Amino acid sequence: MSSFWKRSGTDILLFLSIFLFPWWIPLALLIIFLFVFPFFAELLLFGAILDALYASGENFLSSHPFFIGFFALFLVSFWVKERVIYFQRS
Amino acid sequence: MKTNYLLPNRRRSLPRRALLAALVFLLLLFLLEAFAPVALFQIIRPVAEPLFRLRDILNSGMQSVGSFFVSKHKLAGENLALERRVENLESELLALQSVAEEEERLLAEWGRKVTKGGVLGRVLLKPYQSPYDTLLIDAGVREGAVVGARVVSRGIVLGEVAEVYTHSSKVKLYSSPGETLFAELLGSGLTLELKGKGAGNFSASLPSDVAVKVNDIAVIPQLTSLPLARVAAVESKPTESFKAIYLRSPVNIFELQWVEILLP
Repeated sequence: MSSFWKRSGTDILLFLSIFLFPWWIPLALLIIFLFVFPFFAELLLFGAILDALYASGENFLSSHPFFIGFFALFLVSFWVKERVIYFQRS
Repeated sequence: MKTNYLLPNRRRSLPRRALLAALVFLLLLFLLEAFAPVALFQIIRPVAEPLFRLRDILNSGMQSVGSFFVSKHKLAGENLALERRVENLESELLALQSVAEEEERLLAEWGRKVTKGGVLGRVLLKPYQSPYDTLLIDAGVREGAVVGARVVSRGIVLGEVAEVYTHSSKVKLYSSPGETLFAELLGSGLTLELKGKGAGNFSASLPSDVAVKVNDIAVIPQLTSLPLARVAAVESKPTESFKAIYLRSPVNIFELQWVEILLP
């Protein structure tokens, strides 16, 4: 299977999991896939969708906890991938 | 030569395209929040609703498969316990009916009128599916929901509408961790500052010499008070001047299917 189809399939699976499963299942899957794929920018979009569904708050910080968390994780993941030898080999 | 460690000069700074992508996303979200705060929700809603209904169908299917394997002995025990519970509830209902009649008579005597109106909403998301003790219901502006309207289930107040969309609303439960509200103990009229503990639970602190007992009912005081929670436990130590009170909503929020939005 080409990487395009793998990636698309993963995105569809994650999108469906947001609506079909409790919030912590897509959260766990997103964090796993962040380290499976080298550049998993969809994470930020999924964070915004999770916020639109679940979060409510008066300001940007309190109404976007998932997006902000994923934003930080997304940036930190590159730092981790550079330093962990497993990602260098793959 | 094969190395099993990273060479120091291979370390690079954060890839530019990662930073760029993250910043573009952040900017887009800021713009969306500033100019069309509910746009993202409105976009995903047509997809979300059928999927939520599919999830409910799958869940009920799984439950019926599970119930096939329950033993007869266990079912008989459950039946007996439920019969006792129904008896208890019937007697409680009778007591409540007499209180309601008394209240109506008093209000009529004093010339006060209670307007009752509400909007029924199907619960699309509830705690354990949602992380912050929030509900997503399928009644919005078009159905008459407004921000701040109280949300009840079988007469028990659960929370307030926090955000409204065209056909949906987000409800923040009073039991959300960090939420505080003032309630009154029915009968004694004692005011309590309740702190949300999540999943329909509350806690409060009172001086040790104040009489509070298990099963006392906390209400939100208004013309016709709305019941909120029942005292589940009282914890006091002789050496401490305050006692801790734990309250629990009689409604199981994990099994909520329908709620009513009380129109102001």
